[in-house]
Amino acid sequence: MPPLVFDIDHIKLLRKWGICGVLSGTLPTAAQQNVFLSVPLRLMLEDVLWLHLNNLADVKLIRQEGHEIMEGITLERGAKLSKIVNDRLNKSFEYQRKFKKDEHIAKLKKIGRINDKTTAEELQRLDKSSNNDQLIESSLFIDIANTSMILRDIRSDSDSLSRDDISNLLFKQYRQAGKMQTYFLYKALRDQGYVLSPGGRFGGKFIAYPGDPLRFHSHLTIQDAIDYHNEPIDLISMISGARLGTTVKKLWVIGGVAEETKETHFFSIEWAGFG
Amino acid sequence: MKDIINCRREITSRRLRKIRMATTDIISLVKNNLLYFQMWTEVEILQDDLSWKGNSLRLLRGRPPHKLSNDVDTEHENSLSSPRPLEFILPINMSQYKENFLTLECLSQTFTHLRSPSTERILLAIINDDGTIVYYFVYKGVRKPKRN
Repeated sequence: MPPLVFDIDHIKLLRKWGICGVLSGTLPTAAQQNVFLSVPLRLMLEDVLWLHLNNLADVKLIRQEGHEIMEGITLERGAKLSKIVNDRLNKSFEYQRKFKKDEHIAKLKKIGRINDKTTAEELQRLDKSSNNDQLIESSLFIDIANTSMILRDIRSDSDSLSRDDISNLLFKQYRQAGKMQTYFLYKALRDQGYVLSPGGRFGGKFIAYPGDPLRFHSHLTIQDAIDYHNEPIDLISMISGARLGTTVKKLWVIGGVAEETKETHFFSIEWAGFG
Repeated sequence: MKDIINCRREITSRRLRKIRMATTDIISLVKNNLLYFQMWTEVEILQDDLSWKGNSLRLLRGRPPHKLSNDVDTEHENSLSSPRPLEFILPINMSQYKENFLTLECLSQTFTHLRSPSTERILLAIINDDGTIVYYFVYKGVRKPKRN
């Protein structure tokens, strides 16, 4: 399972640190376009490693699958949770109804349909003839909780694990997914103040923004790290990547770590504009 | 049957010879392409060389006919008549990448030993086996793209 963040306040804090992630939450019955997605926020493994190594976040390991977690909920607890959700929803509906009604009355007063002397019965009759209650009912928003009550009090394997154990597990998972050297590229770019996002859309490992992605366009498409001494640069992907970069205004960046000095080396490549 | 085998062998070895085109060949190929196809001027082969994986790397120097993308001097550009800066070109064969040739170390070495201090970039000339040559700028480190 990918690393997920469920709490809105945590997401805000991460954004301040330059970790933006990708929102992924949606409802199976009402799948949304990606600009309307909600919590949980999905992070890259590099983000989690960086947060953990800098001691900025607690990593909670959940080995159960989603359906196992759901099956583990007792009937009694399920009823309790559903009551909480329903109560909250009704409260939100009531608030919205009152707000909309007040707004409606203010509007009627403004256009002169009613005045301060209009009685409640008259108002009711007016509402009925214009179907107002029905309209309000159909315009109510369904508020969804920002945080998961189920995950909050779930038992986690990592409660008994030390920080080092978690580091080892994260490193192990990371090595299975890719090259350790790529993390050092990630770290070097973060240290230079870049904000990194997954770069699949542009054929890279990451894309790098010079600041918050809402304020800046990204400048760079970063490739997976290659071995400094023994791995050749793939010229075909370099040509296609750098050529694509001219239209999307991104430099194609390749890098690697020299083992002996632990130094990261980056090269930025761009089409020359001819040939 | 023997003839066919011999013929095949001949073709293969010819192909191999083509792939291992000598460094001087690809240098003059790029030089001619720049001079007579891209209309560059003052193109010459530089004397400094760097031995790399059994080949010797050499740069070309030349002046482009017009302003190139992401030019360094866009900010303080006031006279149209000022000559374009000289570019330094590293020719590389497309097929060489399969032989672990163009590594990050190779680029680092080129930047350290062959690049003139007057430029921050190297123009990579990639020679395809279909007769085309493509040109890409390489900058050391992470760089901003051009503003526009």
